Amino acid sequence: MSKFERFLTTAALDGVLLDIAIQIEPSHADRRITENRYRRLKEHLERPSSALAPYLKAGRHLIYAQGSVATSTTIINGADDDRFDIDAIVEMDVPAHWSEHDMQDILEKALQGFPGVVKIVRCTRCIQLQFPFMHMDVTVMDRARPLAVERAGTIPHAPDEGKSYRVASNPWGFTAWFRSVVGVGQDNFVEQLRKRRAISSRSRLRALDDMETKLAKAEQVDLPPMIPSAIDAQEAVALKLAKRYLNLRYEPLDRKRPPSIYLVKRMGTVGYVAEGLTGQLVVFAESTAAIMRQHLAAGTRPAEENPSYPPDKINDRWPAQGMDGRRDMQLFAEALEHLAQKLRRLARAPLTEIVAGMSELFGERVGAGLKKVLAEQFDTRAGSPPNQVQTGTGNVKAPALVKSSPDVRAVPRHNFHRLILDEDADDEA
Amino acid sequence: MLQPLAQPYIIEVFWNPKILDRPYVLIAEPTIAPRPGLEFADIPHLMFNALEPTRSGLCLFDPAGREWTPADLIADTTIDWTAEWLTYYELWHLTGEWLGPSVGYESVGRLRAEQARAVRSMIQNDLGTQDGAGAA
Repeated sequence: MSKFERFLTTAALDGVLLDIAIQIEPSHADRRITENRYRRLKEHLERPSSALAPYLKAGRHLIYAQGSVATSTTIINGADDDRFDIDAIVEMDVPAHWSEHDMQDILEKALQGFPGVVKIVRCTRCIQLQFPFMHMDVTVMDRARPLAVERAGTIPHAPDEGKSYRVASNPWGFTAWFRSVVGVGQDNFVEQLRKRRAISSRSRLRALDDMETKLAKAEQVDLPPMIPSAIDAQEAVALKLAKRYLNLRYEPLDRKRPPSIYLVKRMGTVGYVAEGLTGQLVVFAESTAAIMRQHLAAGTRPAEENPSYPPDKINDRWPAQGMDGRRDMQLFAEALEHLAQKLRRLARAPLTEIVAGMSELFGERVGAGLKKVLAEQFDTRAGSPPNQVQTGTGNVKAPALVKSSPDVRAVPRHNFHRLILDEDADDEA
Repeated sequence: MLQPLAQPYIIEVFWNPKILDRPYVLIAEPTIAPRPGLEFADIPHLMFNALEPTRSGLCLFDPAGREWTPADLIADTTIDWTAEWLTYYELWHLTGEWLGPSVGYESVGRLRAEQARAVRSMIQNDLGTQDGAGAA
């Protein structure tokens, strides 16, 4: 088959991966509820009785989304819980006498009584609000000391035991960098995503109360947006898939996976891969694995920086130091190499193998959901429009998903039949 | 070579209007196979070769529906229908259902099973009539 390799495409697997991404991402309705949670965070922290209120100066502080929501890479966690993890920054002038623990203490106090919260958990660098189907990590960022770079500041590192210190940070600048390198997405890709979402997007978040329901249903809200607009770029979708795969891969392991910000930096650096979504994931996985192998061979560790603010060190906590760090890099390289090898194989495999492979990589429920989606896309028994076929390759495209193109045409109407070639029997039975 | 979805296939198309009344399409590589637990005759929509089942062709249209004539280009009909057959074949392996448009019995296996059921039913009815009337 090798002489035909240059004619082969990954279009079918690209489509399957898109369907998977839609299963694991928040829906449009979920985004509206998420937007409202950020708005409520702002209101809750700014209320007169809030412990933070005396320190939030009008026009000087900002509360906004960062992390996966800002880069359009939020997914259903998929490993231990079916939930979205989102992040928020409270950017403010922190009083000079506050320690890192003070920053955490006062934030934690100010968050008490947040509507709908099931539990509030104190982490090393943030306070986590736990809702049904969602965790929101809230971090205070101090920009009291004037810095040359806009929106840069420091966040607290305040472990229960051990030394506490400030960490240089510029999440706003990092998001701006990522959004500038990926843009809004290629037209064809965005259209494919839109068509598939119309068929199989599903919502998970439930409004906490009447106010959230009302805001979630409102088509136009006369309030400033709390979440940046969605990016439907191939790089962002590939990141969703990579994160989901790594969540599941690391779930049984007693080691931390690389932070999402490192994956985002890597994908932004890799850039757009013209061969498609499969190619995007394979190039990301193979190039990042190669970097890990180089560091292992050289006895070094990655030292990525925030392109908008170099003092913001992306790898300050992962990999770990010393031999633990070598193990971190080894595991990560193996995980990525497995992902790339699997995708290369599945790009030329029959559907049964693809669905089994997707279950292995992205979760059993995703595989089951994919089977249903594929059946719905291609079921043309009951008078549906005909499938379309690409000339030259014979690539068959489901009617609801195809874009009109000179090299794609409708399959002529026909009905499959059957007969028996038998020496003695009649042909037609 | 066709790549209807992800798996590429090598197909062979035989056509001689002096000998055949329709193109005979074989899937050369990889070879087709039934779902686990089923027989070759259970693969839907074959021109089933009872003497050599693995050399069965694909039954791509309904002759009674005049869906194809020798005046039609194979490149515009047979090839596209073969790509579609392979798509539905993979979906059949995945779901157990043939999701494409079809007429009549789905497979020779089902046809034979139905014929066998009809014969058994007829025999049982006949025995029942004889018992009722008292065997002669």
